[in-house]
Amino acid sequence: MNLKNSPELNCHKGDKGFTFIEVIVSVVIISIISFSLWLGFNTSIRLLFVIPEVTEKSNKLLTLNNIFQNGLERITIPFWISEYDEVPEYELEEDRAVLPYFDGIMKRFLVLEFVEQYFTINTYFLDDTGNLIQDFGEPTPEPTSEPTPDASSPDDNAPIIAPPFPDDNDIVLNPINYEAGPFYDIGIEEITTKEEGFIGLKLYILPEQYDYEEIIFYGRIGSAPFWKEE
Amino acid sequence: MNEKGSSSVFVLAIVIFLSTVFIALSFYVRTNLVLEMFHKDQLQIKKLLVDEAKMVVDILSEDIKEREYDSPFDPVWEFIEENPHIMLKDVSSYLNPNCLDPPLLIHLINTMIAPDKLVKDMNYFQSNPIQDYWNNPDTEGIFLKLSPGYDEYFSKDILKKYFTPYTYFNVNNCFEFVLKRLYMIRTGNSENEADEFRKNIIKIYGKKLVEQEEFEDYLHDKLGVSTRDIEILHPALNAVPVMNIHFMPEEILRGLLTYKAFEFKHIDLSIDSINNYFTGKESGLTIDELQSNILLAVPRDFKHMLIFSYIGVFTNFWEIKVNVDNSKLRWVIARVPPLGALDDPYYKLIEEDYNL
Repeated sequence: MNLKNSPELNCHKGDKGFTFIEVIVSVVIISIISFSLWLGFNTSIRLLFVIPEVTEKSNKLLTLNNIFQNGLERITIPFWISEYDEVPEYELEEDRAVLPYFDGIMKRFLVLEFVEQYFTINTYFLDDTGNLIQDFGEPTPEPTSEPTPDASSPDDNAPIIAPPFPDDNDIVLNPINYEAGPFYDIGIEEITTKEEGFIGLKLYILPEQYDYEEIIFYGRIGSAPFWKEE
Repeated sequence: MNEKGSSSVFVLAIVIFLSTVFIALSFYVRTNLVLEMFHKDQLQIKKLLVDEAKMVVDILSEDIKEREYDSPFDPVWEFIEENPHIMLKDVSSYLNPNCLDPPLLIHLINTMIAPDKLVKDMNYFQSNPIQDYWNNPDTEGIFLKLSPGYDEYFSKDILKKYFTPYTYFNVNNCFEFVLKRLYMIRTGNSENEADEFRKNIIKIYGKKLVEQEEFEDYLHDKLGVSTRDIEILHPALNAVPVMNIHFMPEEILRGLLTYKAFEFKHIDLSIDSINNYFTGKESGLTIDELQSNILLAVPRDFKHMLIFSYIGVFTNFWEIKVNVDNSKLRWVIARVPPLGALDDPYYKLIEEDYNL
C-alpha cells in the first residue's frame, strides 16, 4: 500500500495539523481557564455555604445585642440612689456583672456572665437566706374560655383611636434567661459620663480567635438617678 | 472541522460561574440589607418617640421660672388634647407609703379605704416597733415598685389609685427613720452619723416649717448639717410640698384635713372653697390663694402650716407616655427644685422605658 497516495494522509498545504507549540499554548490556555473556572465555582459554592453561617452568626449577635440592651433598659435605679456601686450585691468584673434593681426591685438582679466560651444573661433574685436564685418565671396561666368580642364587622366610620397605654400593674415581669456562644472572648466595662454618672455597660466581643476587630455593644440603663457629684 | 462551537462551552461556563457568584452576592447583600433596615427602623421609631416626649418637656419647661402653679389649664394640656397618642400624668400627687409618718398613714388609710380593701391591718406598724424594721440593714425599705413592695398590705387597685413612689423626701414631714436610711444611702456615712442627722432634723418637727428657699441655710446654720451632706442629699431630700392641689384626689385632701394633729375644724368649708375656686375659672391656684382657702376661718399657726409641706401648687414628677403604632415610650421626669437662691428649677429625665 502506498501511504503517500492514501486519501486520509494526503494533506494539502494549509491543511496541516496543529504544531506542537500550538497544542501546548492551547493546553495552557484551557488549563488556565479551567483552573479559574474551578476556582470560581469552588469559591462561590463555598460562599453559598458560608453565607448562611455568617447570617446565623450575625443574627445571633443581633439577638444578643437586643437582649443585652433590653435587659439593661430594665435596670431601673430609683432616683434617690447616689452611688450605684454602693448598692448591695452590685458586682462588676471583666467577665461578670451583677446589676441590682432589675425592674426597679432592689433584690432582683440581671447577671451577665462569660463562662467557658458562652455568654449568659439571666435574671436572679435574692432569697430569704441571702442566696442568689435564678428566676425562671411563673408558669403561664391556662387561657380562659371567655368569649372574645366579635371583631368581624368593624365600623369603617369609627374614629381611629390610639391603642391604649399599657397598665403598669398588668405588666408581667418576665425574667430573662439567655445564652449565646461560643465566643473566643468577652469583656464588660462600665460606661460613665461626667454629666450623667453611671449610664450603662459596654460589651466587647471577640467571636473568633483570629478576628481582627472586636464587636462592641452598648447598653443604657432605664433610669438616671440623682447621682452624687464628684 | 468546525472549531467555533467550542467557544459556546466557555461562554456557558462563564455564565454559570457569574450567575452563581451573583446569586451568592445578592443573597449576602439582601441579608445585610434586611438587618440594616431593621436597625434603622428601630432607631427611627426610638427617635420619633423621644422627639414627641421632648415636645411635652419643652412645653412644660417654657416658663418654668415665672410659672406660679401647674394646673389643668396650662398650655401643655392643649397639646396633649391635640395628640391622643401622648399621655401626661402627675404621678407625685398621691401618697408615698415609703416616707409618710406611720400615724398619718394609718389615719389616711382608715379615712380613705374600707378595711376590707386592705390585705393586712395597717396597725401592724403600731404593734411592731417600726424603727426595728428600718434599722435592719437587710430591709429593702424604700420601694420604687410599690407592687410587690407593699403587696402585703394593699391590693393592687388600691396601690394604683392612691399611692405613688414618686415623691421627694420632705424634710418637714418625712418619717424620721426613713430620713436616716436616706441619709445612709445617699452619703454612704456610718449609721451613727445617720442617727445624728435624724436627731438633728426631728428638732424642727412640730416647731418650724422649713421652706425650700431657706432649706440649705437652715439645715446648715441651725441644724449643723454640713454643706457637703446637704449638696449630696439634695434634691432627693428637699422642702418643696409633696402634692399638687390641682391633681391630687379629693379623698387625700379630705384625709389630710381631718388628721387630728392638724386640728382643722372647718374642713368642708376649705374643700368647698377650693372647689368653688375652680368653678368657672380657667386658671390655677397660686400658693397664697391655696393657703388662704385652706386656712379659711382658722388661725394661721404652725399646726395648720404643716399641711403645706404636703400640699402645694407644683407637680414634682410627671409621667409621659408616647404610643406610636405598637411602639411605646414611657418617661418619668422630675422637677428639680433649686438649692441656691440664684438657681432655677428644671426638669430632669429620671426613668425611660421602651416598648412596655
